Amino acid sequence: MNSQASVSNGHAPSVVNTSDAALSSMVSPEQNRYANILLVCSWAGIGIMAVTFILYMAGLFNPMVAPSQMPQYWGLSVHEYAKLTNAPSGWSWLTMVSHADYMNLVGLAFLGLVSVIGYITLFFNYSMKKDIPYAIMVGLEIIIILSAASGVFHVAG
Amino acid sequence: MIGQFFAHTSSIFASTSLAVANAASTPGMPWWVWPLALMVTTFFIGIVSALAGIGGSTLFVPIISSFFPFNFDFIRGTGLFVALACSLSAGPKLLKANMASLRLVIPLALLASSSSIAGAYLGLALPQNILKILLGVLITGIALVFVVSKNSEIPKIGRPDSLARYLNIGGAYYESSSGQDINWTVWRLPQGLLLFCVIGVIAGMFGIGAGWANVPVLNLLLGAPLKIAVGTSMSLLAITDTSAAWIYLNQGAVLAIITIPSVLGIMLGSRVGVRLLNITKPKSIRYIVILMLLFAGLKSLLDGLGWG
Repeated sequence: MNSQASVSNGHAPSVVNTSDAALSSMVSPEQNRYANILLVCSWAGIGIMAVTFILYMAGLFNPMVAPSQMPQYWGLSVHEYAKLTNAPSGWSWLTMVSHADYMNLVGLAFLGLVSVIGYITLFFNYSMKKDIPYAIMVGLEIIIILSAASGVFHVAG
Repeated sequence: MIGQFFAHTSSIFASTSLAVANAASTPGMPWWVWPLALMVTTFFIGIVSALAGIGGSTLFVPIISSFFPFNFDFIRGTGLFVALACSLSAGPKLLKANMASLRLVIPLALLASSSSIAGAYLGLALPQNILKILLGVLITGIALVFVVSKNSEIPKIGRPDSLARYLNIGGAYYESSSGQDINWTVWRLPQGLLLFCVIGVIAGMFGIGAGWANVPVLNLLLGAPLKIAVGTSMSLLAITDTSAAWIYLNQGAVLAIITIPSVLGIMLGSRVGVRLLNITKPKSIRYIVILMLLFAGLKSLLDGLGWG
């Protein structure tokens, strides 16, 4: 087995990352499971996005702002756009999900939650293995992403 | 033949950009031209990005903001989803091949994703001309980083720091060129964590995935082998960009008509790009990317200064 060689840096004693028998190119079970979750969920998200976008472009499901009207708005800042189109902020778009333009956000929001789904499984894996530092870091990451998703961080318009 | 392919691809890309620029100044252009042009443009960006090994949004944000009539807020929001989709598309394969390390991803992503929220907040609060000037400087800087940086396949490192040892960061991967397993670990993790805070702010602020910065920090500072650095960076983006993407989505800065064709175009393009990897010369790709970044960076700078 080859090693990543190391050199003396003049300060610390040099160390060679030796061919540690414990290390192998086998993927850890939790990393494998996490990768599978990302793979399946990301394709599901892409599929949802493609379908809802076709519906929107076809003018189905009564969009709040029809695609043909978008050139009037897409040059505006997000604050101006929200004011003129009464666009919702935060999760209020869920109440308008029957309209094709907001239906499109389902796939995008799902993509934004894929990592959290993967991290929840990691949290349980690391907790069961009593790998406390990693369980804590994964737990904190879940809280951070969910806080960002919840809309508690608000930008004044 | 390869030279012809590049000349052809570059000329198609240049023609598309020119056509889009002309269309932008033509009133009465049918609305459907824009999502279609966006999908074609992002398809080419996807090819070039995959060949160059950089995140698609590093090229997406400056190029789309230079040639399309969309507000910069929506372009940045879309840029984060583009980076997220690319990462989700490539990450699983890299993780399953052990070319990315989850034990390295988790601590770095925690800091980068927290700081990307601050970056997104800044990006949505700052005036657009200031943002464009800063983006111009940043993108020009990235082009220069591409010119001067020399990544190391398997860096030589000193004693791993106590934090890296405590977190047991390291592993092994199969190197197909030598047919052997390569053991690796990292050092200077605390310095790396600090830099990832800065990278997170930049990613959130400008809506660009931070692969251009992740890879040099992982490879040159932390001493991860280049393949691990690239794979880990790609897997990191799925988490780093998620937090910031939510800030933009919650503010309404994500328009389906811009975001979805971009995500689909870039994903298709990057799949084609990956297939072309074996027949392309990395050096010629590098030159194309440097030129595109320099052009987009200077254009953004001039736009921000009101001279565009």
